[in-house]
Amino acid sequence: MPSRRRTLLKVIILGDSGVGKTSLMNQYVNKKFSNQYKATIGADFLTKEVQFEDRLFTLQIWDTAGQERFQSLGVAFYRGADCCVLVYDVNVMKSFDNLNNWREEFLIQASPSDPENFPFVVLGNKVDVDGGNSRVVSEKKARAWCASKGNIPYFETSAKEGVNVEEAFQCIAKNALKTGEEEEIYLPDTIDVGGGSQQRSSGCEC
Amino acid sequence: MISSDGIEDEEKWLAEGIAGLQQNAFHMHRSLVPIPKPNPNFVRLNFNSRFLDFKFVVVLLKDSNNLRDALKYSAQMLSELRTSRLSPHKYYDLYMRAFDELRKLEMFFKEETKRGCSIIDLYELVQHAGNILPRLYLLCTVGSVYIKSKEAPAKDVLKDLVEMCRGVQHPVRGLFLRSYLSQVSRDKLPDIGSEYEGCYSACEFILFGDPELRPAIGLSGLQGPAREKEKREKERSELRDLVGKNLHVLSQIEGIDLDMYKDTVLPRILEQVVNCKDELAQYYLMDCIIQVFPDEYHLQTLETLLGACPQLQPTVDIKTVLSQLMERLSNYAASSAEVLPEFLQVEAFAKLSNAIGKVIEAQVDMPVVGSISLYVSLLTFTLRVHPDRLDYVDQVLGACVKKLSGKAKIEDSKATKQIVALLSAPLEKYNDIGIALKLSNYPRVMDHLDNGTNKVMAVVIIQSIMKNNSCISTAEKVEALFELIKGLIKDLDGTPVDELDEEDFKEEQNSVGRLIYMFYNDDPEEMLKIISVVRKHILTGGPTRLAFTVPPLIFSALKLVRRLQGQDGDVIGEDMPATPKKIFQLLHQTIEALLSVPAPELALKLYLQCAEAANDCDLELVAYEFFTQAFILYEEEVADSKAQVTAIHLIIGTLQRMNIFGVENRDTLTHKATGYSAKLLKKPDQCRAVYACSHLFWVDDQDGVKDGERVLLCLKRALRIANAAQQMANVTRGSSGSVALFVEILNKYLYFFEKGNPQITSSVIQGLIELITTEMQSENSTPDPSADAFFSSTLRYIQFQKQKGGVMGEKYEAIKA
Amino acid sequence: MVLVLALGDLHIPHRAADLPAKFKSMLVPGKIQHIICTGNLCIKEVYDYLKSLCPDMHVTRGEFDEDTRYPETKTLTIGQFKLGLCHGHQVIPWGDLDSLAMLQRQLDVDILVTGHTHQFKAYKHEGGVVINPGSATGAYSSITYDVNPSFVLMDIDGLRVVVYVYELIDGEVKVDKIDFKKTATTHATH
Repeated sequence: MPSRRRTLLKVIILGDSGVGKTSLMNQYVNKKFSNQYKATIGADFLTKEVQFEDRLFTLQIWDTAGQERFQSLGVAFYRGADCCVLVYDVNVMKSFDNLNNWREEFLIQASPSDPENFPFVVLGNKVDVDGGNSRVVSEKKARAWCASKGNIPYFETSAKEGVNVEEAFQCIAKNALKTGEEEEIYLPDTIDVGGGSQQRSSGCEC
Repeated sequence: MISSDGIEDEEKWLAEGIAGLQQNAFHMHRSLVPIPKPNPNFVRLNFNSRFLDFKFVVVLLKDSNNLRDALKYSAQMLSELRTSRLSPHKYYDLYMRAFDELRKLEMFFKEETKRGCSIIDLYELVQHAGNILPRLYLLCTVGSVYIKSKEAPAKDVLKDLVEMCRGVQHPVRGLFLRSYLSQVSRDKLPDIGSEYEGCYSACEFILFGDPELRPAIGLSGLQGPAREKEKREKERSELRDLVGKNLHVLSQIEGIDLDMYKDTVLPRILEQVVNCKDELAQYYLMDCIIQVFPDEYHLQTLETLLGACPQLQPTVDIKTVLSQLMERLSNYAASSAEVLPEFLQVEAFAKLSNAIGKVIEAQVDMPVVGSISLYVSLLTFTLRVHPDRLDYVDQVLGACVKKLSGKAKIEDSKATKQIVALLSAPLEKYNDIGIALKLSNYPRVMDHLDNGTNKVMAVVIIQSIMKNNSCISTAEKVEALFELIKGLIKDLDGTPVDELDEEDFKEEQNSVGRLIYMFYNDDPEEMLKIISVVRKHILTGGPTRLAFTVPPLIFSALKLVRRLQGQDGDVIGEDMPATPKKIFQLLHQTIEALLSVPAPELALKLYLQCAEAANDCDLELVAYEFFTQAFILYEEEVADSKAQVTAIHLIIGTLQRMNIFGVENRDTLTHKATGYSAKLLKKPDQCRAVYACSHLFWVDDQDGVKDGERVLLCLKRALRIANAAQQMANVTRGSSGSVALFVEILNKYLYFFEKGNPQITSSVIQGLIELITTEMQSENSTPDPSADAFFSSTLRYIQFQKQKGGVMGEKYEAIKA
Repeated sequence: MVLVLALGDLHIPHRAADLPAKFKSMLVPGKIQHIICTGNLCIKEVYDYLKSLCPDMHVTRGEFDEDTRYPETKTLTIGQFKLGLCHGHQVIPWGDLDSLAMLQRQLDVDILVTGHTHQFKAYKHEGGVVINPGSATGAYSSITYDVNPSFVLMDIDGLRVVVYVYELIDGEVKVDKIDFKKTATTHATH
């Protein structure tokens, strides 16, 4: 019987509005896709239990608003992320050009402890559109960018056709896991680590 | 709520809150070690837990210190969220940290229930936490697990939770708490196709389950003294996503189909939006509705959606809302041709058009730029969705005209920019000026522009035509076009040309010139009509413009003449078919207009061009008349000496090619030409012009004149002038001038010698050669390397001809170089 | 290998709206080393456009040119060749080969480039080579009927010049070429 130590892994999906972040998440978690475009407001998450090697853990996938005016509260939810997914639309050059901004903004706001090695994964979505004929960002170009930013894993996906979505999230989970394990230990400066929790006989804190 | 002490204080409080939170979280983690199971001391109680005494529970759980500690520390941790000191933005930071920690707690609860711990007991237990806020957060966390366990209907648990959350009245804390509940129960919401029952319940939960939603939308709890208004608004602005998110959640629920949206969801949302009577919230929520729900829904509920607009507060920026809706729908239309019939079916255009009309009517104070940009959005929409319906396009323009009429010409630069955008859109869409010309309201819109913008627009139109290489083929269209670009053609309103930069003005007029070459029709009659229309318009341009616009017209007409060559006909009568004669009349009158500029040199050149064309049409009298005019101009108007030289050469060159003239006419003209040549100011110019005249008497054609004597006369005259020039140089400079002129004349002698002019013998040539040689060798001479080189190459040429042998060789035999 | 673009008699905007699109797409900046222009552009815009193709540009005055300050004639040396440039309305009779030969002797050049007739010509005679690049826009001419747009590209390489003529006929660009060689010793080209 596999050991069942549970871990919660937090993943943030970022990218321009309309590239398919919500659709990718829905495809992965619910195996569903809808053609209708519905903008996301603020940030929200879905969870999915995944088994990896011999472990079971919960992937908490945060879907975010691509349109700036729908992020009125700011991006405090970036904090504590174990992996960040950058999504662009292969048919829209601007969405690819903006990847850099998203990545930098994330590193500034989330302030991970080891920014150099923080795991990103890049997804080039909507490869299915028009049989690939309206594509403007070449795979070569995307891979080159990913390589230049520390060998970021890259996947070409179609949320609509379900192409490569499972594989991408497997990789995302794997990368998140690496970070997750490293971040477990927390030591506050002023607490005495020596004792265990004390037993109390009665009373509650009201 | 937030003191005016500033941001540094807030940072401090946030830091303190985070520290407290982290500390308690640490302890909480340590308690989250699973209780070993099964624990014989732990007894499951089966009676109604609602009435359980807390003390009893504690006794029962005395071995489960971990759970107790977990709850204790988590409650302490959550107490940090009780603060009133933070702005929503910073509160969110704290909230998210707590949120992350609570996920671990939730997992712990889940584990515990799987190990046999009663969820109901847990549900009870957390309610005994001291303060309301921590209690409720814990409750929601347990509640989430409770629902998933299915031990009670989801609907009931949610209802219970919502009820209890109502206890938190504070707007910020309350909104975040409700948001938390929404977040943790989201994927467990009653959903068709999911594990739970009834999607109607989901809507209820989101929309009605929270009676606080109404004030929450208006965030009325945040009203305060006027001086803090800015801060309040900032806070509300930060909080709005928490409210908007509910709409997003709604849109994600699968079970809500179009019918449910149309019948229940949208009307109820709109009701709430209208009733909150708050302009900020209304604007934001309308924006959310449009963005968050799919386009098909919007199309099918267009009337309802648009119907809400007039009911909103008058200060709401409804035009931006409408523009965004139209933009969305435009994109939807562009995405696939299959969706277009839907637009027709719901009469989208009519509805939007009406709505816009109503908004503009209602908001009397809306600045012009606002209404125009609405029309721009509507036009963009129309061009995408109904490109074939020119009547729609014209309708939009017409509405614009109506809005603009009765007002003075627009001064506001933003508004004029919008109008240019409005007028450019059909040009870009159709790439065919012909279509724009069909829109009856197009020129009317242009009429409302101030002169400057009118011209800008005219240039845009011309550029569009040039870019698309459009050919405009009827006089009617040309007429319509000139009406549109009249700002460039003439001074409007009788005002003089404004202080337009000279360069810009030239560019502008040159573009009009180029435009004329875009007018063409194979049918000569129509082409003549076009030319007449163009002429009519450009003649209104005044002296500043004619120099630019007349030449293109002239040449366009000459091209037509060439097409018609060989046709005869009388001039009289408008209805007669197009003939060269008729066109020459037109040309004559048009070129005359140049005299008012004044541009005599240009006119002269154009007369000569016409003369040549008349020659080719065998119209002797017409050609003669043109020459006469050219000479008159030369005599009376061309004063500049350099210009005279050019002019006379052109006259000579043209005359040389004339074959239509009878002897008398020809004589008159050649006489004049040679006469003027000899009267040029500078001697060298005289000399050159005169020897050029020699060609007037020798035309190499079969029946061309070959008057050897007069050729020689010219050449001799040229020699005399060259001599005189030499003498002058002697007198003025003390040394004789260059021999260049002699060498040139020598070459001319050679020319006619070769052509076989009997008057020119080898001895004549020999004499000239010797003359030049002597001159060059004399002490007095001015060295001139180019003249030397010319002479050398001439001598080389003679050698070459000699060596050729044959007839040429023989001729040159006698010449010694 | 030195590329020289020879063109003229565009007559924009008097007799034509613009260069043919097919020509424009062929004329790309940076490929040509020199431009020689016989004249009758006629406006500054055209001058600027040509200058953008190649900064080393030489123009002589045509009778309709807006700028009257261009020189009547110009000579320049490119590689082993001396080139002469003149619009040609000054040489009477217009288009007459012998008169043009006289101009060539006068300027003492190997290659004479003139325009005015709007008719492409390239021929060799005892004095050298005479080239008329025609009208780049196919503008109306009182002298020549049915003018096809044309221009010339010369490839000067040592003692050899290859003259390519590009003509737009019925919407298609047709290219022809003529070779000329010069003997090293004298000025004359044989």
